[in-house]
Amino acid sequence: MIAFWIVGAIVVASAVWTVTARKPVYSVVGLLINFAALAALYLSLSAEFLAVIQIIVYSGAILILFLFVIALLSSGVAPFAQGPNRLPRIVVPAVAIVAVALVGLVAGINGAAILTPSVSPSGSPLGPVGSAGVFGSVADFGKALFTTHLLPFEVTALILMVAVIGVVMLAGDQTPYVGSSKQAARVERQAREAILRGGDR
Amino acid sequence: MILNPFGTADWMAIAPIVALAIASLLVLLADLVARPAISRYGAVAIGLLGTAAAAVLAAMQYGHVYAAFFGGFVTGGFTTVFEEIVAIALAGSLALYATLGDPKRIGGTVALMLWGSCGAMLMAGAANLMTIFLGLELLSLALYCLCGMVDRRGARESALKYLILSSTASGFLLFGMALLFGASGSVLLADLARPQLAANPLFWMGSGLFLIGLAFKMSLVPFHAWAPDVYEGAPLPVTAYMSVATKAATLAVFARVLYAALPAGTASHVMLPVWIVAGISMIAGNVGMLAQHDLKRLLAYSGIAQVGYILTAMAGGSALGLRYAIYYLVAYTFMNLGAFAVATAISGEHEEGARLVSYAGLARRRPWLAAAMTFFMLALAGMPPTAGFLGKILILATSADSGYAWLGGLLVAGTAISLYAYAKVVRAMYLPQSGDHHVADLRPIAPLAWISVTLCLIGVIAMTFYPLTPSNVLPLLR
Amino acid sequence: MNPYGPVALYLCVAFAAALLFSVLPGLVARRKPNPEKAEAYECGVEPTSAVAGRFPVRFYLIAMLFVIFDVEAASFYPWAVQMHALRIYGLLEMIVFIIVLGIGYAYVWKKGGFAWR
Repeated sequence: MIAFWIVGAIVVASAVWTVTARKPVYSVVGLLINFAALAALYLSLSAEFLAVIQIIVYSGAILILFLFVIALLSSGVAPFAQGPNRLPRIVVPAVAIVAVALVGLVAGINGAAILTPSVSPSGSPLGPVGSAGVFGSVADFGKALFTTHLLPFEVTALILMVAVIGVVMLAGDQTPYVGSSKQAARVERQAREAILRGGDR
Repeated sequence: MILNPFGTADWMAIAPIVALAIASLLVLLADLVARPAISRYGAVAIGLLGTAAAAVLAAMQYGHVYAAFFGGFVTGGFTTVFEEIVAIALAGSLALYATLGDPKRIGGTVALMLWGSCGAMLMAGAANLMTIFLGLELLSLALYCLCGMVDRRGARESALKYLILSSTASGFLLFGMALLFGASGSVLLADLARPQLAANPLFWMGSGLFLIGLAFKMSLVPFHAWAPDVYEGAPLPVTAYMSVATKAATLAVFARVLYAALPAGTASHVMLPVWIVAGISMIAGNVGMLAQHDLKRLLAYSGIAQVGYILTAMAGGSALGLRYAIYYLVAYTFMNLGAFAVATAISGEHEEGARLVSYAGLARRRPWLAAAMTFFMLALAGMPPTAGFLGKILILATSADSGYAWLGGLLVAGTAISLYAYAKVVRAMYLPQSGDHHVADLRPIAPLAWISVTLCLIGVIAMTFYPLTPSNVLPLLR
Repeated sequence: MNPYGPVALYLCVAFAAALLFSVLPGLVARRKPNPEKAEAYECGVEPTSAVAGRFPVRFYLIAMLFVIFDVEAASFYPWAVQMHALRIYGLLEMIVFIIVLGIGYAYVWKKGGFAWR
């Protein structure tokens, strides 16, 4: 329980840092801490597999994407002087309302005991993580994924394929082939000017 | 030791989807080995063969009610009908691609189109939350890529807008699904119909968020702003596909939730916002049409209103209403695809025939094409000799019966407004224009675009004389 | 004790060690500042431009493909845990998954998605 509060505080603090940091790279570091702390929270909910995926995919792969985007777009750009964005006034009451609603919802859930699956849908008991046959374990997850939920699993293969082909079709053809460094410099200058003009291409 | 829990019946249920997936993989392989000159027609031919196979396999499941993959995918009349609509939209768009497609990218484009249709067909039969979401994502992801896949101003803008706004809607949908799962403890839609859920606040919040997501995908009015811009920037065949298949697939999910996944007695309360939004869409969509000078934007606003008409049919939650909704949806599929096929037929090498200016004087240059376009516009407007008229009469009757006469009234008002907008297209074609607009030279009409126009015409006429209302689309679940 | 206790302990030690080694030089090292030392070192050549240059978009393409195939690799994990229990049936399911993505891989390869242009 103490661990939950510590990790929860880290999650919130790193999220705040992510949105308020002046330099985009700091935001990425904040996000990294956030992802890692979320993985710890997943573990405390005995969602082992989710925690592993969180580490491998999110803090491993997605953050690399963020870093590349920052390297692509914002190198040479000075850090924001004013912060990324002055918040509009409406945000504060809106956040307050959402926060009250969430607290109310959570209190309502706890009070009315709506969430009562003490036994998981697959029939295995909730218990300490780590061993097979326990709700949330990777073994249990694998069994469900390859039997009950086989169709969604195979559909993800198609979704990944769409992403692969889409990336290659959209970005692959755009890279101009450059033979010499002089030509490369010209291409880059043209691209720079195009960006400065704010044109479509 | 885990035994194989699935038998032949499970695999037969998803056979149409498997056929499309295999066809798309073949397209990719063919694209790798074929010379560029043959790959354009080759890719489209493989795609069309796969579509035909999928349509036949889906038809074989008609009336054969079975819950495959532990309720993940349900077969029966309802699923078959929506699968066939997707197949029609896919075949029509592929035919248009054969006319317009960029030969360098045609392989990947056709493959993406086939995968998107896999997603749409999955949504047609999806009876659990996971299958719904994955089908929707498969369809949407393919469409994001397809929208940007042309070297023209506005295409990338269209893709980006669609990606960002649609992902937000998917977020709403997913959050709603999470709450619904929290309330029922099961991903099956059938378990959402348990009566004790009616008292659960999680159920109400979840279904609200879920419906917002669906309303966005159907481009109902407060969530419609993306549709005209995205339609305008996307390539013509993709616009044609989006305007039919996305709407049909989302309507399939919506109908299944409405008819089979709500606790008894809650439907009129849960769905009331949807009916209000549908009523606003019928008016706002038709008013929005008036200001448009681009056929794609015009048909985008038209589509916003048409979804409102279809939802009006379902408003009472009666079995008859569902049959009429399906009837109107099928008619709309043919009308809309037909209009886009005409636009493709008059497209030039560098400019799509989407601006209304390029229709000026079409009656003199291509009288048959102009006549066909006039017919499609009349059908979309719901004028008497067409299937659109018959459909609207049926919808009016059922909405009055089920106590949603106010929606019927809005339908009539919207139709009256829309007449002017549809007439604008017809007037451009037939009346001599004062200014001498630049008109792109017509290319010799590509055979496949011609065939699609004819087939859509036949479809609309056949629907008029033989009102095809599948009677055994219910039961939807089990 | 929670089975993940050792992991938490390990993380704490790792953080503490990293923190220690980044703070320690500032405390114990002797400082002799010099303008030459403050410059970026570029193989003995005078630095000509800002250190953080613009990356070409091909990095992004590679990163994107990496994410996708990373997700694919992650899907092997639950299968590997249950491989013996699922037997030939699970193997067939996984083969279907791999064939689909293998064709995508071949397509990307042939279209030059992995080529460094």
